[in-house]
Amino acid sequence: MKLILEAEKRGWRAGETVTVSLLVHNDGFEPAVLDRRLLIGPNLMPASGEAPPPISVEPAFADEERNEIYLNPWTIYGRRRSFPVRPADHLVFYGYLLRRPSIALLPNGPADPDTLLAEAEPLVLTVE
Amino acid sequence: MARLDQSTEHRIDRQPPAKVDAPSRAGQFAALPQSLGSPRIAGENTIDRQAIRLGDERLPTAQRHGMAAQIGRVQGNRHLQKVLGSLKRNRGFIRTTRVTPAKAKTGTAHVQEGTVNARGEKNGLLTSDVVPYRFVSGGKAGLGNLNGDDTLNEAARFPPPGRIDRRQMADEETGAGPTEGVPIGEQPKTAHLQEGEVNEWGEKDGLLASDVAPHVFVNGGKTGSDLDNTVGGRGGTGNQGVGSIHVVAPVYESADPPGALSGAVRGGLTGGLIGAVTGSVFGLVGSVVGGLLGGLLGGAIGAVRGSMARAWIRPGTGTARVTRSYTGSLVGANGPTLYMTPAAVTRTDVHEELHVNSSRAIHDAHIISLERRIAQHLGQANALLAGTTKAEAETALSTFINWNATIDAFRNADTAANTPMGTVDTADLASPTFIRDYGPRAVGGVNYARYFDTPPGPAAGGP
Repeated sequence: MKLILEAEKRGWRAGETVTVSLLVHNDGFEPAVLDRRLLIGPNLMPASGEAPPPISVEPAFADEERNEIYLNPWTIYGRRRSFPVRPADHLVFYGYLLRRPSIALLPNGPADPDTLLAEAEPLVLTVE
Repeated sequence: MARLDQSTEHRIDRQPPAKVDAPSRAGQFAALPQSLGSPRIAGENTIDRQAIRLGDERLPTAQRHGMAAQIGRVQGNRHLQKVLGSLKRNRGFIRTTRVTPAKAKTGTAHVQEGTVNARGEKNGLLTSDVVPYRFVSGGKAGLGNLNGDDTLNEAARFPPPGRIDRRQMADEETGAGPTEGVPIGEQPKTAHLQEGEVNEWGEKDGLLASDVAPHVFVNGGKTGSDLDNTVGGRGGTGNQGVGSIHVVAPVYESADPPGALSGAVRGGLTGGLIGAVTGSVFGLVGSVVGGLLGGLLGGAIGAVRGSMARAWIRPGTGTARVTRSYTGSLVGANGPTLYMTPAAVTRTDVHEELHVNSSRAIHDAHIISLERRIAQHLGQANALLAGTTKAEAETALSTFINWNATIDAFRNADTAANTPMGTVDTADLASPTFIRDYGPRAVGGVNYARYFDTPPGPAAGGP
């Protein structure tokens, strides 16, 4: 599977709400199963050195089966989040998929690299 | 230790001493026999009048010293003590410290780097424009072991959230509103001052201590609540810049050596008296021998001490105060786009307490030892004997205090630990119960773009 971070545009103005999507693309030729609880992001890391907002996750269903997403070949599952931004900053977004649950999660990946299954190429946006 | 010559004290700012009619050192000793021969001083048997004469600063110090000695010999030490007590009540001490205002203002200016005193030592409020933010991740609710190891256990040993150390409460730096839910953990202590000795001039001498340590770390706790910082508020942020510390640089005062001869005489007399008393247990011969030996030894020691200059720190200076407090986030709606659960707000507070406690640990590691060094030479009674000139004594004391390096060490360590994504944030981020953004959610019929909660978070599809 392949992870992709997308935004409507690269340049944003201060005061706008930046909307970023983290997409999971089953780029294989066989159906794949994804656990929504293992998809982390999109996570914002301000380049200015400010503290980042909380990492993005989804609420879990009590029924385990409902947490699993079945993806046919070349289909997409995704998560869209919005972030208020401050002026004159570079925003870097991260997203990644875990191999198994991990309790130590950083914006740009799990603290334990062995739990990382796939990650998106970081998305850099500019705020004017 | 008795002091014979106080007239040459001055401050580090190198301003010339106030003009006095003091003779040269040789002149002072030359004047002593004359004063001893004064027919009036011992005969003026009213205590107050004798005190007035002793306190007359127009007279040379040595002459007044001689008067005091004569009173003691003629009317006894008990009477002399009464005279000195009267002098102290009416005018303060005979001593005239030639002190002028410091060049460097004691700091109240809220500036990044403060000012410096004449020695280049940092003064004022040293702060930064960076405040510790709540950083978000998972973590145990509480100040316990966050990582399953001891990474943050240093902080965890400190009092729980809301417990305030008011060992020396101060206040003004935050500008924050009234406190919210801030229980007072400790009653203010009342210091029981332990007086030392006094010399023949009634000046306090020796170690003047108390039973309250002068630690100046103010844990202001949670000062209020505001919109979360992720939506432009102050919630989940510290109220002070990282590395912030309010310092009043030490003001060094010093005095030239009283003189080897003077020291030898005083030391010899003291040593002789002690030796005589000690030796008296062996009778008259023992008393004489003891007196001689004690006199020789005391004279030698006194000569050495008398040849050394003195430097001390002016009381009220050399203080370093660290204040840390924080603003919490609001429970529920934080503006139209963010909802924070009570658990999320509590976890935010816990995180901010980690910052406060981290700063406190760093304060304790660096500033307490500095405070001990300051206290060791605070006031003339605790003067450091070093060198043969005032300048040498001041330099030796400044080196011993190590002010700037210590303040910098605190600031650097505090910044490294508590700046956003510093060691405190990074460690807390890697803990399991920290806040996470569970995304868009309707709460009570209101739609929020973001919903902050602690794991496991809300049930999917639930209220």
